[in-house]
Amino acid sequence: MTTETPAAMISLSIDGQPCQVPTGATILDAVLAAGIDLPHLCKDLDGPALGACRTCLVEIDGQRGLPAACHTPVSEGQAILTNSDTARAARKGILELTLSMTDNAAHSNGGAATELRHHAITHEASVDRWVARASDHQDETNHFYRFDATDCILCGRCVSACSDRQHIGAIGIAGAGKTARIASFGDEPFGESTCTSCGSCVAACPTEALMPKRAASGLKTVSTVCPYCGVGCGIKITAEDGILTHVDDDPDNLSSRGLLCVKGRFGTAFVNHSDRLTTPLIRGPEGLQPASWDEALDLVAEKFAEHRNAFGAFSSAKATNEDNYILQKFVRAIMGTNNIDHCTRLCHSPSVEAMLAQLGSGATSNSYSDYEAADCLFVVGADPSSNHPVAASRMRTAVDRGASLIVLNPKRIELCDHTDLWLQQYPGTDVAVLNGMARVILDEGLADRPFINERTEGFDEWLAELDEYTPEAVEALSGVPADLLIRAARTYAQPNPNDSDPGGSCLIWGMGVTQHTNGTANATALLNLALLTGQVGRIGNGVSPLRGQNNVQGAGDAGCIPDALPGYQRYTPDVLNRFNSIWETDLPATEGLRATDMVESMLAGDGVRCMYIVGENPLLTEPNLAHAHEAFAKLDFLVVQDIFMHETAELADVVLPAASFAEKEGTFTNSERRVQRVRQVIPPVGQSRADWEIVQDVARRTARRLGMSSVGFEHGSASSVFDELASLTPIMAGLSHRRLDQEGGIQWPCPNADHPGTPRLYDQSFPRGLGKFIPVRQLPPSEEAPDDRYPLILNTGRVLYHWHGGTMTRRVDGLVDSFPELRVAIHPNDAARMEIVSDEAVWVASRRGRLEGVSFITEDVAEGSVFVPFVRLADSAANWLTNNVYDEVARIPEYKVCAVAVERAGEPSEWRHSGPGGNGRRRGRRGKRRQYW
Amino acid sequence: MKGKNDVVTETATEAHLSELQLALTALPRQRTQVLPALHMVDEVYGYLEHAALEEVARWVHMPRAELFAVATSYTEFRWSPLASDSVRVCRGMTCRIAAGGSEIEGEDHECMFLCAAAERGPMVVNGSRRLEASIDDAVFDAARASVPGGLTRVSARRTTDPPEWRGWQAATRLNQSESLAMVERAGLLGRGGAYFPVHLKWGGAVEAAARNGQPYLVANGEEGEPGTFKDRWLMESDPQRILEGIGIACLALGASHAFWYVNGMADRSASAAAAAIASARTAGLLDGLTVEIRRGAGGYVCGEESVILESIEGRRAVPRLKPPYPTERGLWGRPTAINSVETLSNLPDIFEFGPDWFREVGAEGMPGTKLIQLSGAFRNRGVIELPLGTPVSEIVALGEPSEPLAGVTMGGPSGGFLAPENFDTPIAPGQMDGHGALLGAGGIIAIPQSFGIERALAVWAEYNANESCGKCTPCREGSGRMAAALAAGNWADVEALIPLIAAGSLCGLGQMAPNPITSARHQFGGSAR
Repeated sequence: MTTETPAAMISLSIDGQPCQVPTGATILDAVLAAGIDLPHLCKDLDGPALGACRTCLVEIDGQRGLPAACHTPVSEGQAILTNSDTARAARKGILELTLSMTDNAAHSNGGAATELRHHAITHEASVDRWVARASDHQDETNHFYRFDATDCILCGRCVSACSDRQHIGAIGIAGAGKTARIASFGDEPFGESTCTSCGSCVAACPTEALMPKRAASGLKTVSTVCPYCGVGCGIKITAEDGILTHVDDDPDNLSSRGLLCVKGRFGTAFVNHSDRLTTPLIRGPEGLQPASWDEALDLVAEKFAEHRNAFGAFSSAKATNEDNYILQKFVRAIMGTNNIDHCTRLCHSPSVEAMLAQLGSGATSNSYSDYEAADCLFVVGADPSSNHPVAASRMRTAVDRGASLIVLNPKRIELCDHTDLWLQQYPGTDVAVLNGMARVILDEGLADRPFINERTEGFDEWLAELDEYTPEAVEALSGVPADLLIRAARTYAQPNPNDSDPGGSCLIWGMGVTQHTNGTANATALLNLALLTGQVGRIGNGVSPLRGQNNVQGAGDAGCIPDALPGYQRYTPDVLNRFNSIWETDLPATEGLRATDMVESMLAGDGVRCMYIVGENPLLTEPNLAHAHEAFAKLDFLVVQDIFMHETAELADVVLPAASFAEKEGTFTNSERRVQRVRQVIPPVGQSRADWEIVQDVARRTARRLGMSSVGFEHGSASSVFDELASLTPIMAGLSHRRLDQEGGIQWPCPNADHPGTPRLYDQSFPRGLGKFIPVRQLPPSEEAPDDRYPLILNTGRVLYHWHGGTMTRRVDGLVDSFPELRVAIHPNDAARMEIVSDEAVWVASRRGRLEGVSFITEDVAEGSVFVPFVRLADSAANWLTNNVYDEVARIPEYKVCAVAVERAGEPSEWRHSGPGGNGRRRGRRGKRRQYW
Repeated sequence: MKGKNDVVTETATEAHLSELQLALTALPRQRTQVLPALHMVDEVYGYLEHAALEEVARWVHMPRAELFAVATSYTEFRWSPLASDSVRVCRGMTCRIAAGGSEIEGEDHECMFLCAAAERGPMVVNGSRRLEASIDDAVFDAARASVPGGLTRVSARRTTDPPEWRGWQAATRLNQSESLAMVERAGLLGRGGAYFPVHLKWGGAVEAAARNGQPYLVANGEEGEPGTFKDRWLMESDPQRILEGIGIACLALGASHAFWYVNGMADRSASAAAAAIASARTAGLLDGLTVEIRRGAGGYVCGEESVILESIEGRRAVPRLKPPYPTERGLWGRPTAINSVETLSNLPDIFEFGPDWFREVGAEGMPGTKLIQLSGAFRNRGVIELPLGTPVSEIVALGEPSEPLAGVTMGGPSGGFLAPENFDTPIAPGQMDGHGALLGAGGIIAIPQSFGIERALAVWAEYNANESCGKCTPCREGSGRMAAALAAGNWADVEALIPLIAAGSLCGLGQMAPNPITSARHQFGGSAR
């Protein structure tokens, strides 16, 4: 809980009982605190007072009128009468008017346990005092919930959830008086609106007007953490008979504070999908065949033992810290190699490299609460609205409060709707833009000189490299207009130029920065900007690489990287000695291969010959999949451990069934470094087991064959694994499952059991001492440039309704229905030239492969660019096209730029979202604009 | 749906869109520009078109559904074009009286505020141009007539060219507390209808400034109550007097930004205000002071002061929760004083001639004059300035009833009635008879016996039902049922609803919606049943 200064208390009485409440409380707060069941149909307990339903009227002794408790502040000595005849009669009358808005007939058989029905009973309100005036409007077009106006009492809670909490604004109360109604823009069906299906409205509804299409059942509810993105939202899962039936938001979760997106609220059905792997599989003459655990584990151990010198493993950013810790320990202690990596290589490795070099630590410096407190948000190469929706809600909270927003992105993103500071650079020219902003800041005297002098080094050397980046030169290089660049630079440096405190700016970035051959240079240029302006270490500023996966932070923290042990401890003699003595082993002291290099080494023949892939699907997520497939096919032995069969598992010699996040205990660490408890909701599906348990078995059996000790692979619980991790990892030394259960998630560093955790890093110093400016230059924007044959630039990324390659989300009906086909975003001018209409099948081809998708004609992409999400849908995947060229420092592939050609493939698609009434039929005609696609 | 004129229509629509896009570039990209932008769409298209709204949403960085919710809450906006041969018929109280029993075919239009011009038959406007642009000058002159026999204090024309602002000059020599003291000594009460002491309102805002920032001033020229037209009369005839009052109020409040809020239909008022601002600026009188004209877009609820704030901020036309009151937290959380243009018009003379001069007329506790508007069954219709405390009987005599009166309405649809036997009641703030008759904005409509109180009551009840903004349940669900019950003579239901609406409604307009009924029963007893 956040600490609050104790508020002055006010004494009053409620129905004759004296009580005390803090100053600023409302009468409703006081009444509810006193345990009185006063109706408050339009007041969501964690939402604002709306004052619309008027069902919370009370009487105050000696005062005229009946104030609404929800928005009337308490005052000293008040005698509140909730149950006086007048107040009760008024509430009853108003409840009867409220009931007249609903279809009484529909509830004559008792109705449901909604707030309205409950208070109709407590007030003996008659459902038929008035002839009903219910609207019969119904809307079934959203894939997750339905709207039935027959039950709508226009309380406005759904609108408040959508606008005031999520800051999406897909619905409003439209009309006036008798025409007032819950409506999307132009009364269009919700399914065609800008609704993101986050379900906050459904959770807020006090009647049954907004209901999930799938009814909840079951009595057991468990608080845990969402398995999707790195935001790490709290979810409360209800289950029955081993089936997850309902997910609710968790207002007590310190990272999400009751917010969720569509995937968190409606996207966990994959857990119970019939495709789940339920037994181990061993490849025989007939392909993969079910086998017993003993058979499978023995075979795996035998082959691993044989390949001890040619071994590598991919760990999983979807698995828990405990799973990851045990896996890296096995790889290092038993297999004697540091060839362990995970998908961070493919997402934020350049950010980590740059932050380690310049700051000394590779994590987000601040908290989501800093986004809300910021005066400026600078979002670079990220689309949080699709990929980190709850973080985006918190950013929009700041913007709606008046914070400035700068977006640097070649593709229009949803956040662009909230700002006129969208810098649309040519792909791969970020360094030019960022250096250009730095130069403007310097030229205009907006640099934070004291910060530079006291907290940084390398400034003069860096300065010397900035000369050429004048706004005009940058405009020529990047296409960003000079005046926009200047405004952005001024805003980032000093969002509130006229105030004594010029304001805090948060720098937030994603894959658009890193997934380039210039990835590390891009990240370096960003950090230079933060150092130049001192925008780090204070409330409302900081640097945030948005982590993609639920536990990508934790997988790295737990040591699943080739260059460091848990807690980013390098292979120094001291560190090695400590680990060797506790693990009773002799650890390798040289860095292992990175994920992308392991793939390249498979092709070399003398490199990695045996792979253990835990919870990753590289044959969907590596660049140039044909090339990656060739590499994996050359392996002597491949073990895949996962919850579903997937592209990589199909090549495996042994497939081991893993338990999902809902079937095990553990912890995830989110993008703001908060370690949070993952809790078991249902028993493991089939014979599946938690990853850490499987790996322990593999380790023990492999060790036996190698004649090594298997001590240290005998944990009986995830909690015990965590304790070992904490004991070896100074940044998490103060954490334990028990403490996390008691206090909720805690942000590392947390060096001891009394330490409260660290919301904000770098307020006094950097881990490396001084922050370091490192000069970077704009190099050629990408390895592959468009030419006559492949004239367009392909950009890849993600979409709201799918997660990553889609292994999970393709198994959730509503998500697939919401986004069923691979959409190829094409600029109208390009589309016109290629004679492509909206919603028709198109081929996209690069030098490496070809996919079929559905055209989506939109000005959201620049002319000359196309965008394809990398989720695999309808047997097409963007990584058939992408280029296996790498950033030299971080070895991340250039997912964001390659040259492609697009052409019509056949007849128009019949996807339900096709544009309004024949609009799409004109060549190059813009498709209907949707916020999220 | 598609017809042969599609291509033409589409081209025209695209031309409209380009015109709108160009026009929008004149507006800052902020939510506060929503109403100005919607008026632009209305100007360009003649109605609110969906593609145009999406353009506005993009321009002001607002989710389009939120914009739609805002736009649809302003009931004056049209959602389809008006036919060139259309006929708009005023359904205001005065025009209903003027129509007698006759019905004229046409599109119903809420009060056009031409009440003084309505004599035989309701006001009728032909064509598809904006309302005021479609009205003959002669009709307009009649609608803005002065009733002879009144005083000429606030109605004395101050406008000079170039403007001189002698009252404001005097105010510049005072500090803030001296200005407040000046108004306090004058005893000026707000003329918008609530008669709240101006110095208390200003003092509250000044005091809150330390906590919540520099105050704003809103000059309220919304005037959306049937039977009232004195603000239009003032704005059209002497806008410089109002502007000078704005200048004085801003000095006293320490404000540097004022919004002049003008009714959406009152085009002539708005252009007069704009001309006054331009000429004052030329004369160097507005240095350091920003005065922005904002237009409403209808609905009786726009007269509720917090709705004006919501409207200026670009939000739905629904009232705010109170507390906090606007003087504590108004526009964008800053203290905001909202004064009617009539109130502001009193300031120049107070500061030029002093508080004692101001107190020379009026009655104890209510000094000064009030602009009264007479319409309905009077021979002399129009505006007349009279001291507060003048008996209604004197006013009715000056109006010269054109036929035997059943009574008069006092205070519009939130007010009540006076029966002829109670005409000796003096006009005064608050409940004049203790049972619902209000001075309010000063509109007095004479109800002839041929029309009858019962019909007048039905008109007000329907009006209140139609004008409910829809925010809170008792008013939205109750007012329509109350009107229906009244029409059906179902007094049990009327009785059941009155306390719910009066005690339960969120804003004053809802709470006062039953007033005409309670008032009529008090004044006329069983005859109102």
